[in-house]
Amino acid sequence: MTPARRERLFSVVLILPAFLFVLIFAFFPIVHSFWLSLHRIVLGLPGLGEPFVGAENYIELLNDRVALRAVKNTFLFVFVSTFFEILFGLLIALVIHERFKGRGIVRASVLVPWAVPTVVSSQMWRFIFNDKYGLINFLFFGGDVNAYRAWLADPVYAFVAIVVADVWKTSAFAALLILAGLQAIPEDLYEAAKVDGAGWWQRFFKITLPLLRPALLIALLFRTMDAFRVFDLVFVMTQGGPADSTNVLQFYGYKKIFAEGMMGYGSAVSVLVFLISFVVSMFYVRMIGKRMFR
Amino acid sequence: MNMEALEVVGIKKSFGRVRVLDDISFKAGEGEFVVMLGPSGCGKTTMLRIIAGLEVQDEGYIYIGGKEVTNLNPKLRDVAMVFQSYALYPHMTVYENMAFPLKMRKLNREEIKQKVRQTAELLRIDDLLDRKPRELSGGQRQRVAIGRAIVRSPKVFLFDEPLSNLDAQLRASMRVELRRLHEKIGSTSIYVTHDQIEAMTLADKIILLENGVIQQIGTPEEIYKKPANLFVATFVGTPMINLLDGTLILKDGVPLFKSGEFEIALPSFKEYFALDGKPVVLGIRPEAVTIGKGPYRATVRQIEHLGSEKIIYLELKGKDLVAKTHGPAETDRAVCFDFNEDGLHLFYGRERIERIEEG
Amino acid sequence: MRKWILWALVMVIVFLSLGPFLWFVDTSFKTEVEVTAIPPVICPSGSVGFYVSSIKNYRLLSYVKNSAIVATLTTLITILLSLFAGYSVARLGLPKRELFMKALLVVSMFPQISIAGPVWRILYRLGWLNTYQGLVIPYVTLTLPLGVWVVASFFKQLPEDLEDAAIIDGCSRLGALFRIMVPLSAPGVFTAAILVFIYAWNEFFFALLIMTRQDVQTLPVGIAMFQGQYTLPWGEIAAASTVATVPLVLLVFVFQRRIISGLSAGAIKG
Repeated sequence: MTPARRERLFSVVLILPAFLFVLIFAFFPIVHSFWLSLHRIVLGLPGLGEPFVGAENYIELLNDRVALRAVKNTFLFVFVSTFFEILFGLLIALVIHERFKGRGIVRASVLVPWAVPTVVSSQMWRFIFNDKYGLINFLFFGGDVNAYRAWLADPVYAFVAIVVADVWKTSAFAALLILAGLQAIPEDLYEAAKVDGAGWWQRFFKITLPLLRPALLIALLFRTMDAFRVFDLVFVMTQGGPADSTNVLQFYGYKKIFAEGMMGYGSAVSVLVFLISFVVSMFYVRMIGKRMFR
Repeated sequence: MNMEALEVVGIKKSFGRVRVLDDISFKAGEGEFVVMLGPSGCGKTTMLRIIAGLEVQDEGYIYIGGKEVTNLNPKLRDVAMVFQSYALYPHMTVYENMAFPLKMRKLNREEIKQKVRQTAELLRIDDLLDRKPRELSGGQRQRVAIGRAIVRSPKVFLFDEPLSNLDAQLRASMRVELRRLHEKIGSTSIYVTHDQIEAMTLADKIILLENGVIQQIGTPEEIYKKPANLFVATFVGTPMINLLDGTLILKDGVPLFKSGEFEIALPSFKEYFALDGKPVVLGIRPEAVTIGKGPYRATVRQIEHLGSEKIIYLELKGKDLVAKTHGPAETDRAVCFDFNEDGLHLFYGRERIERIEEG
Repeated sequence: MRKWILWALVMVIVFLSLGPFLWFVDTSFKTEVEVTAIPPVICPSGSVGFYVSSIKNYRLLSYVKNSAIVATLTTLITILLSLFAGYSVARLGLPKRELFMKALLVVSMFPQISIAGPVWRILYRLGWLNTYQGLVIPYVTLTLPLGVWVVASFFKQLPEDLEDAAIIDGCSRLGALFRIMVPLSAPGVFTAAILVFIYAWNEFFFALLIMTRQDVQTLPVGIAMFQGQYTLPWGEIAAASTVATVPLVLLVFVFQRRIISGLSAGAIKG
């Protein structure tokens, strides 16, 4: 064997364990989900067998109002939460990019929500939105206990609460990605602009924003894809309720497969989820272009 | 069976569609200091990496100490290499850096200790052994890198432009030191550089490469005095050799070079009669122009003082001519001069025509 | 003037970042009565009753133990595999490496539900539901993209000469990886390890599916499932949440710089 081939073989051997993990526990399941979605499989009723039903699950899915509601909710959630995360992320990034005393501690503080387990932040916000002794009620109505609301029992407020919890936890991540973009902008540009007499807002709109575009896009991509899989918040805070107002795709799929045991039908949901997120991520990757893979 | 320290036979290598080495063959004798010289991108570093086994050739063979190593791992070739960037391991001390190759060859601790000490003393870095590379100056790092290479006494040393990261003064002194070291250790060395001064001062043998093709192999003297072609003649020698385009004419059986109004009688070149009336190039080494007296006259346009010597830019009937001399000259004055025949080279096409008495 | 605006913004950001969580920590040191008091009690009595109760009545220590085991195993395996894969991608001419990196990116992006059913079935067939390995396997799969991206981006920054030198000095490829590359990119490897650990410590979805028996459940599942007899045991939830989060907060404060560089390396430099 020639050294060149030996080297190539070695590189393949090295990557093999990682590759097998990804192949067996990520790519195979995606394909297998599709296969499962063409069958009727009910966990706990093995006597039924696993008959092939063709597109039946998908046809049912198209007529499933709850599923369509979940699709709508998911997109709404993705859109609203990502919007605020990028907005706050940009603001935070601009602030922690400045030089000031104690910046390290501030940066670490900003990271804390990111590090808090989602389940913990969900419980935390659930407590803060609590109908009897939550902080939010106290902030709005003070000691007037009779005016207190059961926020999480209201379709609109429950949704808002979940968005708030998500924005709180993940704006920091967006901020970090944007911060990296800010740090890549050469200082001279600002000095040159200052010399040319540009004020802060002009510098922000003429230099910072245009040069930050790639970083913003990447932050948008990561946040969007992450928002698509929102689950923990819904599971802990609302269980999809009230009246499916916070039911999202990942939660709906989970419920179908694991709570109701509808493996076949639930798989159709997961295929749908995969296709949606795949299309969206491809759209972003196109937009960001090749620079990510260099 | 071949007992040269290193033999390279018919090496070819392409990167994609770019041919970087084309049929390279040469030998290095035991203890010989061979310099591969050429402009950047000529393939010399690739050749060195192929010898080391870091790069794989498309065709050809490598023999080290008479043994074919063409497809062997670098580890099994028994070569050591000094890198342009030094490539010292930043997380190890100088001692650990130098001990590393010995450790990899499973020498015992005592042996390692002794060899590293010996080498460190030889290179006068024995007081730096506990330092980390980042605490060393450029010159010291250079020594450590050399130390790491010689500590295990390999069959062949490979140097990849080892001095190019040093400043000019340090480079000059390291050059001298390298030569001294080589004489002391007497090991076979292959040294890659684009610096002709390094090549001229260090080499027993120079291999001149351009575009992946060997232009000439020879001692520094041969390379300088008998450049095989125009490329060699122009690449070696500072200031650069003067080149005049003209025609060869036979006048009463005597070869005459004619360029515009300028004419000069030439010594006898091989088969010059076949070149009668042909376009040729005359190369004149700047130091072959002797100022003071002689049949030719030119105007001095500019003078550069180099200390003991001067570079004089002459205008000779509308042509530029550079001279390197001790003789007196003044700007904008006419001077008489002559040519030293040894510094005249005649080229036809790209090739040099040998003189008869050279044999 | 500008300075004051900046300071005001910094204060608001820090307050909003830390406030809600500090409130929860605050709650964990209250007594039952203080938790439900209106107006809310700001200074708690410093009771550790909820901690004792969450250990005694809610198996807090068992959750901590399970989380520690799963997160540690995940980190070790992911990092080892990432070192191999990252080396292969960054340094050896792995054929189709761009495709591999893209595939990893896809894995890191799609919602877990799209693989959950089949993964559950595989683990079910293997009899690995409710086992540590059953949870570690999907965790390794899902953290590999992050690990490989971060490690590869750090490897790419090291000069290739170092590795060539090691190989000439007599190292094998693997020797060069572990003796030269890994020590030199230790900060990067360590960063990747922290990120993977935090992921595995926090993960909820797969833990919920795979660990259905209480004795093997991890902290997030435990905290999500805390149920009192009549009302939610907020004090105990807050105490357990504090226990689950404080180690991570410490990591963040100590390694803030590295985490930031690691996150942006994983996301941007590739």
